[in-house]
This record gives sequence, structure tokens and C-alpha cells, in this order.
Amino acid sequence: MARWGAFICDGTEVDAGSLAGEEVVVTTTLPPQPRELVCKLIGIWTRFDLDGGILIGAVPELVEQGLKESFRQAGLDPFRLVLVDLRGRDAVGKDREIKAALARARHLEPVAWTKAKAQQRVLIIGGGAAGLQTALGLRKLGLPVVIVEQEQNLGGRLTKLDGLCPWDEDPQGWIRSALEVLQRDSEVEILSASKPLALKGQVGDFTLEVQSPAGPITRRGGAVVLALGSTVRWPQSSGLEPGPHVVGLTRLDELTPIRLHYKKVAFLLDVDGLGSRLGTLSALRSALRIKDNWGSEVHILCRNLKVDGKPLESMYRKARDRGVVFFKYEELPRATEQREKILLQFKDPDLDNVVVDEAYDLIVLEEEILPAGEDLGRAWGVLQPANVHLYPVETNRKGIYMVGGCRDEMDFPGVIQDGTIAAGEIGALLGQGVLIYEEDRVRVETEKCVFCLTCVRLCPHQAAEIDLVKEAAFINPAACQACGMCAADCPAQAIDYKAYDNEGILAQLEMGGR
Amino acid sequence: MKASALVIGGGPAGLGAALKLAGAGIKVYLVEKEGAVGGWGARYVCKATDSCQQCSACLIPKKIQEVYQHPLVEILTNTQVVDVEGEPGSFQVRLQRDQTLDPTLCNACGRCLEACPKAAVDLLNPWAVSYRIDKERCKVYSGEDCDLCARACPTGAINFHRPGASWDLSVQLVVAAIGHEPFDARRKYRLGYGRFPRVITGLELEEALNRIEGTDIFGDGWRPLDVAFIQCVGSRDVQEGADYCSRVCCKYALRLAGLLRHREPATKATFYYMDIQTGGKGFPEIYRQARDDFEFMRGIPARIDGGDRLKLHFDGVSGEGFANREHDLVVLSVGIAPSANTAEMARLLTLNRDEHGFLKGREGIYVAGTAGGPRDISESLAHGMETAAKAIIKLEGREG
Ligand SMILES: Cc1cc2nc3c(=O)[nH]c(=O)nc-3n(C[C@H](O)[C@H](O)[C@H](O)COP(=O)(O)OP(=O)(O)OC[C@H]3O[C@@H](n4cnc5c(N)ncnc54)[C@H](O)[C@@H]3O)c2cc1C
Ligand SMILES: Cc1cc2nc3c(=O)[nH]c(=O)nc-3n(C[C@H](O)[C@H](O)[C@H](O)COP(=O)(O)OP(=O)(O)OC[C@H]3O[C@@H](n4cnc5c(N)ncnc54)[C@H](O)[C@@H]3O)c2cc1C
Ligand code: SF4
Ligand code: SF4
Repeated sequence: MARWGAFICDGTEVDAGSLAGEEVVVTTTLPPQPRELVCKLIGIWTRFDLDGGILIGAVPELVEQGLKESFRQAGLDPFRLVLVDLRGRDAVGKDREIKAALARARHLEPVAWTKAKAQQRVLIIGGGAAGLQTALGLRKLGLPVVIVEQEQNLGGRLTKLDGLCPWDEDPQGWIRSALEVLQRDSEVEILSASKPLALKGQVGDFTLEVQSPAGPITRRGGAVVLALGSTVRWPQSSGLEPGPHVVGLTRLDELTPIRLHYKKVAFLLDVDGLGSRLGTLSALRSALRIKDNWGSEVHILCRNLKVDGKPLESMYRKARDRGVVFFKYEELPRATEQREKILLQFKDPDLDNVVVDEAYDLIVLEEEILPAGEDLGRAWGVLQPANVHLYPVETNRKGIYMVGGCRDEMDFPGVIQDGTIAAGEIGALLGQGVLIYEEDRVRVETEKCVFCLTCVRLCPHQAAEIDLVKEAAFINPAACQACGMCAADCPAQAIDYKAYDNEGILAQLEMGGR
Repeated sequence: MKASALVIGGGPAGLGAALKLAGAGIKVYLVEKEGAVGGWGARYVCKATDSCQQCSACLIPKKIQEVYQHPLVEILTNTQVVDVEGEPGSFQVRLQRDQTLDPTLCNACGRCLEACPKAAVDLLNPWAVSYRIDKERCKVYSGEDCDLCARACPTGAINFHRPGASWDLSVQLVVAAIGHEPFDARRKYRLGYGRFPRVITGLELEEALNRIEGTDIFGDGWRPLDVAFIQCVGSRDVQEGADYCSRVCCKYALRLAGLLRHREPATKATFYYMDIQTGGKGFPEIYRQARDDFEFMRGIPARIDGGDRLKLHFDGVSGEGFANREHDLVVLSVGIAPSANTAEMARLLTLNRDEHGFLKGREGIYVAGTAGGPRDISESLAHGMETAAKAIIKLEGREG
């Protein structure tokens, strides 16, 4: 018979006698501070060699999750700690809650823990600033890396921009010295002009197939970092086409270093109403370049100027002081071609909505910025769900991270921040060389499985796999995050989720618990 | 690794830094001057309507709970850093703690609050694990005699005669996460804050909506139905030395308006603005919805007066519809200003400040969160994590 402890908080006015006859160890004085509480519980747990315990008292959810996490860290099974929240219950209610919890507790089975060796190498896909910073951080923590870059040269978009804005550190200089460090390092393998093909495996042991110039090769690693950057799309709704008098903001960087004779230039930002801060940043920096290099008159037209980033507001003021003129529009300006010029017609609400007519030699259009590699993400089942509780670089899949421009609109300092965080997270994950996970918290009962593969489709963490030999689904314990989605939706009820198995819940309900 | 770190400030940035440092086996002293950790964000309301609006307010209780459970984080509330000496890799720090209310004895039963005639003992935020004494309201701190709370406390947690404690620590690194101050709206005299009760700040609206379920924000039965949000109060303002955008106020204002409307569908809202900042994950959708639901007027009032109906006056904005603008509640979207004790901390830690007054780090002393400039909750948390990762890489790093 399993040994159970009942921990009753002071002030809950529960009669320990109601537990008489149960196979339990009862303790009543518990410290109010969560941390001391945990120490005390764990102490009793190990001293009496308990198999499980029930904590009775005022246990808001906040405390519950924390307790379970501490148990996990102490090597005890958090799912065998059953909490009974008695707030707002009368005497009868309290008694019922406690009996119900005991009933459920009795159905809990122990979970086994497994240690698995983890690969130390980290597979980084994309050699822009984000990928490079991740690599530098990981190297300092002693982990070897592979960088897969589709282009011949590393460095990404920042190497292609002209006249960057004044960060504490010059991004292009930074990239050069980062590359120098990495290229000298024998534990860094750089695969350029290479594309990833397929990814298999799970946290601790991924296998990546790469199409390299020398043919297909594979690399193994314990974690994967997607640092794919962003792409741009021409805003069709603008009604403008690229041509001699119309260019995209990203193309402009190729032109600004050359001396050109456009007398009057307009930046048309925010075309779809959702322009990005990178567009404003780029426009401000290019506007100043154009003033310097071409001596042109420059107008910037937008709906909302995006100034919510460190140097933007002061760059905006600087541009104004330098004579750049800003217009606001609500309705997209009407463009007509007119003898080697483009005429823009619009109403500025700040100017009493009078119609402004201006003819420009060059229109620079803000493109839409999109995360790159959505195809890869889809193929590998990697996404960054809109969940504020995920740490910034985490994804739905354990051991796969997303950094830089492929996860959000990000400037250089943001990219460096992301790379550093990812290196820290991966260092903590793989640094010990072993992964510890619960062996069979969630398990498919092969004989009940009808092979409908609902779980394979539903699992948000790609942990449900297909076992062709047994013709049944199989839950990969290393990838499983015990969210319970599969167990809830399996039509054959073939998935056994240990903390929440049906019998335990039925027993609890029978006793009148919540 | 047997390293230790001092984290100053228990807001999202300090919590993020503390958790990640402790996760790497570093002993962390998390020093918080107030009676509870969480920072400003712990007072904000969940802005979910039918769905989560991703405001991140709920991140904070989760992180508070995680640091409380972490065996390597020692949380020191009511504590201040009074002296720092030494160099990167070896700092000697002197801490001072006010021990009038001993948080390790307090079990938050609330009897002190019942006993206090001034309501000067309270929970700083909904996640506080112990009560705190608000020195501005408590009679003892203005020289009067009173010990009603101390006598009511069953555990002896409150004792006005208990001396403060002062002690020294050695740490390898310091994280300054001292946060920010919401811009003081009184400085904008002409906007009527402090003079008209129905001119409130975004912070006050956050707190009010967090306290109540509906929209009876003053607790007197009156509900605002026609609300004006004034953007950029104390931001993008050269006169205030704040020629920066605070990044968070467009977002919280739009979300708060959405929440008001969700709780009371008859609520109308108008935004007076220069530029709305629409960037950030998930926000474009919120902005698009807001454009459908609310009115947007490009122009910031120069003056506000009136009584139950507030009149907005505009200078130099002559566009259509700006005459006779009236609303029954005005919310000033106050921005992020450097924390009041920034100068003091800069001196103590020998740190420089940027052109707007925010702290800049140096070797061995890292600056995280809004202490270093405007950021939202998740960005502050991420910044704290980055700080921790940088420090760990430095400590474990082969390149020293
Ligand atoms: C229009 C625009 C203007 C900008 N202006 C500025 C500015 O003025 N100042 C500033 O600081 N920032 C600016 N930025 C932001 C800056 O470009 C990004 O912060 C930075 O480039 C992001 O770095 P990254 O490493 O995430 O991505 P990137 O630099 O885009 O690098 C991604 C790398 O991954 C590679 N890659 C992609 N997919 C694959 C694949 N499947 N397999 C292998 N490799 C792959 C790419 O070839 C590339 O080398 C601007 C961005 C845009 C879009
Ligand atoms: C009105 C308003 C509404 C907002 N709404 C949102 C929102 O909905 N969502 C969002 O993401 N962001 C929002 N923000 C931004 C959010 O408040 C900040 O991003 C966040 O609080 C920053 O966290 P922090 O840790 O940097 O600083 P803070 O929250 O300021 O925390 C700093 C902590 O340090 C302590 N401290 C200060 N000095 C010392 C010292 N010398 N010694 C010891 N301790 C010290 C303070 O007591 C405090 O606990 C809003 C901001 C404002 C002004
Ligand atoms: S992110 Fe904000 S809106 Fe969403 S659940 Fe959390 S507190 Fe509520
Ligand atoms: S976020 Fe919006 S309200 Fe706040 S300063 Fe920036 S533009 Fe103004």
C-alpha cells in the first residue's frame, strides 16, 4: 500500500480526525512563506519516504504551480502532490473536498524518470547577425556549433544596408569581427551556399539534412536555432510598380552610395496602414543619406510615423532640422505619371485637408516586411504561438528556438539581445550533457489505439509519432510537454495521461469534489 | 560555480534576471525597496476581452511565484542598497532593511488592516505575500503615537521598535533593474490632472479596472461612457526633456479602451494622438479592431477644463471636428520616465546616464529593463534574461 502524507495548513480549521483510518502521515504546522513551505514538505516527504501527498489549505493556483515545479526540481514526482483548495468552503464542503482528493490520489501511479545523453552540438540555420550572435554566445559556453547559410556570404541583411544608424556598436564592423572569431574556431563549422532539407529527431538529438555544394550531408545536434531573418513583399495596394521612378526601400540601399540626380524624392510609408518601425528607421536613415549624397529635396509621407524605438524620435527631429518635410495622409495618395516624374496627390489632415500636389523624380515605397522561412516552420511544425508565457526565443517545440528577424520586427540591438538569450537558454539545456524527462507520463495504450492519428495531428509539440510496426501512435517522451491535448481528444480513449487519468477523476467526482 | 549576484529591483526585469542567474547556479540576492516584488506591472489589469489581448500583465505573478520557489533566490523586501564598493568580479555591498514589518512572520491574515484607522497597511499588489506599511499614510511616520496594527497582529510581525538591519554582502556582479516612474501628470498643469477628478492617468485606470469587475472606476456608481485618451503625455516632448517615444502607452491605451468597451459595450472612446505605434507581435490586429470601434483624432489638446463634462481646447489644430470637443472622462496616457532614484543609483553604482536620464551599464554592473529606457513587460523580462545570459557567459566564458 502506498504511503500518503496529508499536510494541513494552519487556520483551515480542518479536523485531522477526518483523516483517521487513512494510511497517512499528518502534519499541521506549515510556514506561510512558499519557499519555506516547499522545504518543509520536501523534508517530510523524504523522511517518511512518502509516495504521494495532499496539501490541504488555502492554495491558490499561483502556489500550486510553484510547488509542483519545486518538487520536480527536487527529483520528486510533482503530479503526486494533490492540492486541495479550501478557500470559501464550509465544514461539509471541506470534508468532501478532502475525501475526493484522497480518492483521486489513490489512483495516481508513479512516473519514471529517464536520463538521456544529449548532443552538445547546436545547429544554427541562418548566418545573419542573429545566428552569429547565438553562435558566439554558445562558443563562449563551450558548445560546438554548425551554421547553415543559403548564401555564399554570411552576415545577412545588415551587410547590405547603407548608412546605418548610430547604435553603440557599428553593425557592419560587428559582423566582420564576429565572422573573424568564428572562422578561426575549430569547433565552428560553417556550411555556406547550403540549404536545410529535413529535420528529424527531438530535443537532445536532432538530425538535419543539408543540401551543400558538395551534395547532401547530415549533421546531428542537441538543439536547433532558426535565425532566418525577414523577406519583403511589394505592397500591391499602392497601385505603383517598380520602375525608373519607383523603387522599394530595400533596393534604395544599392542606390544611395552612388551619386544620382533625383532632385525631389518622396518616401511613401505605411501603405497598408501597418508600416513597421524598421521602415521608418530605414526611411529616416536613407533620407539623410540622400540629402548628403544627392542634395535632393526629401519628403516623407505616412499615416503614422513609427518612432517607438530608441533613436527614432531623435532621428526624426534631426531629419526635420535638416529640412526633410513630413506629410501625413489618411487616404493613400493618388499617383499619376507625368513626363519623367510621378505626381502624388493627397490630403494632409494637419494642413486642414487641402489637396497637396507634388511631382517627384523618385518615389521610394516601404515594402511589407515578412518573417522568412515560414515554409520551413510549417514543414517542421515549428511556430511561435501567441502565448505571453513563452520566453521570447522559445517555440512550441522543445529544443528548437527562433531568433532575430524571423520572429519579430527587430533592429540590430534587438537581434543581439535575442542571440544572447538563446545562447543562455541552450547553454542551460545542453550544458550538462544529459536531459532528464518523465518516461511515460503520457502513453498510448497500443491495443486500444485505432490508428486514426488524431494525436499526431493535434499535438502542438510534435511529440505524437507514428509507429508503423505496431500500427499505433506513440508519444515521444522527450518531446512531450504533458499538455494533455492528445488525451482529451483521442476518440478511442487510448491515451493514458497519468496525472489526469479517467479513473482518478471519476473517483474524485464520485466523492463530490470539484 | 559558486558565484553570487545582487539584483536591485524586483520588477519584471529584475525577476527575469534573477531567475536566469539562479537557473545557472548563481546565488541571487534580489533586493526590493518596497514591501513586495512585481514592480509597476503587478498592479495592471488583465486586458483580455473575449480573447487574450497579449498585454503580458499575467506574466508577472507567474514570475513572482517562480522566484519565490527558487532555492537560490533570496528575496529581500523593504531593503535598500546603501553602499557599493569594489570592482567587477568582486563587489562589497551594504544593504539596509526596514524591519518594522517582518515579512517572514506575516501570513497575510489582514487583521492589521482591520485595526488601522488610516488604512496604511495593505498589500502592495495582488500578488504580495505579506502586508506592508505605507509610510505616507501611517501616523507613526508623521510623528504620532499608534500601535494598533502591531497589537492586532497575531504573529508579532509588526513592531515599531524593532531596529532596522544592516549587513554586507560580497557579490561578483550587480544588475540594476530599478525600473521607471510613470510620467508625473501634474507637470502638465494645463491638462487639468489633479484639478479635475475626471482627469485620470493610464496607471489609475489600470489599477481601477484591476480592482473592480465593471467600469464603476471611482466606486460611486458612475460609469464613464464617453472617454478621451490623450496620448504622448510626457513623451515625445522636448520641453519635458523627453524627446523619445515611451513605446507602451499607445498599446496599453488601446487595450484599456477595448477592455472598457468589453465590460460596458456602450462605452465610446476617442484617441487624441500624433502617431499611433502599431508595431509588435499581435498588435496590428488590435489596432485594426480599434480603428473600427473607436474615434481617432490627430491632435493633442493644449488645455482641458470643465467639470462633469470636460472640454478639450486645441491650439494650432484647426482641422475638422476639433471645435467643441467634450468627454466625460479623460485618461492621460502617461509615458515612461526615469525612476526617481536614478541619480542616486547612478552615483552609488558609478554609472553614466543617457541623454534622457536612463542608466547605462558598465563592466560587472548591468542595467536591465526600463531602468535603461522604455520597454514593455515582456521586453523588460527579456532584457533581464539577456543580462543574465551575458553575465553567465562572462563568468563561465573561456574568454574571461
Ligand atoms: C527594410 C528593412 C530595413 C532595415 N533597416 C535597418 C536599419 O536601418 N538599422 C538596423 O539596425 N536594422 C535595420 N533592419 C533590421 C535588420 O535588417 C535586422 O535586424 C537584421 O538583419 C536581422 O538579422 P537576422 O540575423 O535576424 O536576419 P538577416 O540579417 O535577414 O539574416 C538571415 C540569414 O539567414 C539566411 N537564411 C534565410 N533562410 C535560410 C534558409 N532556409 N537556409 C539557410 N539560410 C537561410 C539568409 O540568407 C540570411 O543570411 C531593417 C530591416 C528591413 C527589413
Ligand atoms: C500606465 C502604464 C501602463 C502600462 N501598461 C503596460 C501593459 O499593459 N503591458 C506591458 O507590457 N507594459 C505596460 N507598461 C510598461 C511596464 O510598466 C514596464 O514595462 C515594466 O513595469 C518595466 O519593468 P521593470 O522591471 O523595468 O521596472 P518596474 O516595474 O518599475 O520595477 C522596478 C522595481 O524596482 C524597485 N526599485 C526601484 N529602485 C530600487 C532601489 N534603489 N532598490 C531596490 N529596489 C528598487 C521598484 O520598487 C520596483 O519594484 C505600462 C507602463 C505604464 C506607465
Ligand atoms: S496577456 Fe494580458 S490579456 Fe492576455 S491573459 Fe495575460 S493579462 Fe490577460
Ligand atoms: S507609445 Fe504612443 S503615446 Fe506613447 S509616446 Fe509613443 S506615440 Fe506617444
